Amino acid sequence: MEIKFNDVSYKTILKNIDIKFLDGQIIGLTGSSGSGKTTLVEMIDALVLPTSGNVLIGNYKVDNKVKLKNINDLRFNVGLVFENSEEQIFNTTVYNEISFGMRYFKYKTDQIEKHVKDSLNMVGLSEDYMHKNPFNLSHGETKKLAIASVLAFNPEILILDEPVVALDNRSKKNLIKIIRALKARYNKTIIIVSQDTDFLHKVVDYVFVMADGQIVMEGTKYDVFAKEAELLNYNVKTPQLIAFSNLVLAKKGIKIGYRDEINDLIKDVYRYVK
Amino acid sequence: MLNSMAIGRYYKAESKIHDMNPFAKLICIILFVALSMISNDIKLNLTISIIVILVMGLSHVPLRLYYKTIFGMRLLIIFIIIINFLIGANYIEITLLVLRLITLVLYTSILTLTTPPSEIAYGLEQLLSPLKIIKLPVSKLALSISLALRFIPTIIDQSNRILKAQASRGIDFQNSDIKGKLVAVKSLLLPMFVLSFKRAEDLGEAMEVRLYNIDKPRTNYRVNRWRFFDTYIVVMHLAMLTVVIARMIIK
Repeated sequence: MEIKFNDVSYKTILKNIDIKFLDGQIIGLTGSSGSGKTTLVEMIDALVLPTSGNVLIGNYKVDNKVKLKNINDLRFNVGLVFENSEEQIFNTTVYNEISFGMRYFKYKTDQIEKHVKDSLNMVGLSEDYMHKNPFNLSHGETKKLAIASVLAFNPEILILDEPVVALDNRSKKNLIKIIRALKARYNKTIIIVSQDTDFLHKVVDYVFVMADGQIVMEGTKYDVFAKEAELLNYNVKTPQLIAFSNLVLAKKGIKIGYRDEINDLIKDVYRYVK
Repeated sequence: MLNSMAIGRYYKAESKIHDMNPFAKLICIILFVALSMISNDIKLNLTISIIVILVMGLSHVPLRLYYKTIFGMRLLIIFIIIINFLIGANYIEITLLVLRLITLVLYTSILTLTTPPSEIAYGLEQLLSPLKIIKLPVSKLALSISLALRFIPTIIDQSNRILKAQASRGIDFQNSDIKGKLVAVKSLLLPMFVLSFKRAEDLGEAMEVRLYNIDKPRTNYRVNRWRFFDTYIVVMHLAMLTVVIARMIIK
């Protein structure tokens, strides 16, 4: 499902956003705090309506003129995982949490059970978790549960708002695996809002940089992240792997290329030294 | 929905009302409540409303914040009107009741909008200080009240975030039917309790690590002086109350 922002503004938070998110891509949205990233993604779920312009999400149109009739259909197609996962949980068992919307919309019991099991599998949680209390889970598990809860409706678009905040290294690696699998196996469009450019660099295909409610940079991750000085100008950190490659090029005049994984970079350096 | 409530939110501005001693403000509130309760005359209530509007103007707080407070309780007002209508009250009685409720809420909003929670706690401590004689833990009480007041906007923000999370999963409080609204409110309660307890625990621990000891006598960083304006306003309130009581006795 393609998403298109047509000259969208929202109060003083977003100013004339005119961008397109392509279907089946992993898209990164970065920028300093207060640049309008969260407001932008909440618009895709019609939680915030633009004050001018409109957002086209497939066949759905979000604007402030006409009230969207099939708003729930849109929300089933767009899964939004909020920054603080604990605040997204409002049931006493993992099973109830994942089946929250489905029970309300009167899905059949066997259908609900299948959806719950499938979404738990997708995020790498075992079925033993079904009857656990979500408030007793660790931070990483809570994050996975929040993702599973939105995956239950099998949305075409998945939005993750600051997914790696306060996650330990192993949970971060797990999350990267889940995101890659969701794209490769289920061909979902995934939008990741994060200030952690090292994380974004590992998973995304395309990047948007925001500052003061505007899109100031966009392009493939190598195009955008290679522009170290420009990123610094918008208070965005260059991913370490790219910063290293840039440094080698600047100091030694050696172009070792950009890599996603540290192991590949080490191999390149080793080959060159050898 | 909950954004509309301005109760418990402090609005920083330069005004005579902001500068008033919180103790004096609390005395005024008590006198105003008494005044409002005993005045059964529509003319008198209208006069009180004009006074409230004047004080609102003096507070330099944007009128939209007061409007939001009243707008937030529109359902309660409608409910009161319907109930009174059903029990056979006449329109003057209903108008009086609604007017009284609105003026009371607005007057209390003036206090919370122009006084930071810590200052309200100071005022409460002063107000309750005579009760120390009967060994009432006044400082603890004042601290609890000020913390509760401080958490009102936080809890409102929190519930807004939870409602948003529910909406993103198909149960939108604003756009759904009564059943959907009930499901949304029902599932709001659990996380609100859990997160409130968690926050309270975090706050308690944060205070403890900063060596806060509730049993030690507290001093104030800012000394709230009693000014001429405070005396003037309190006397005005007292005079109004006296006139109303005197009028009632004469009648």
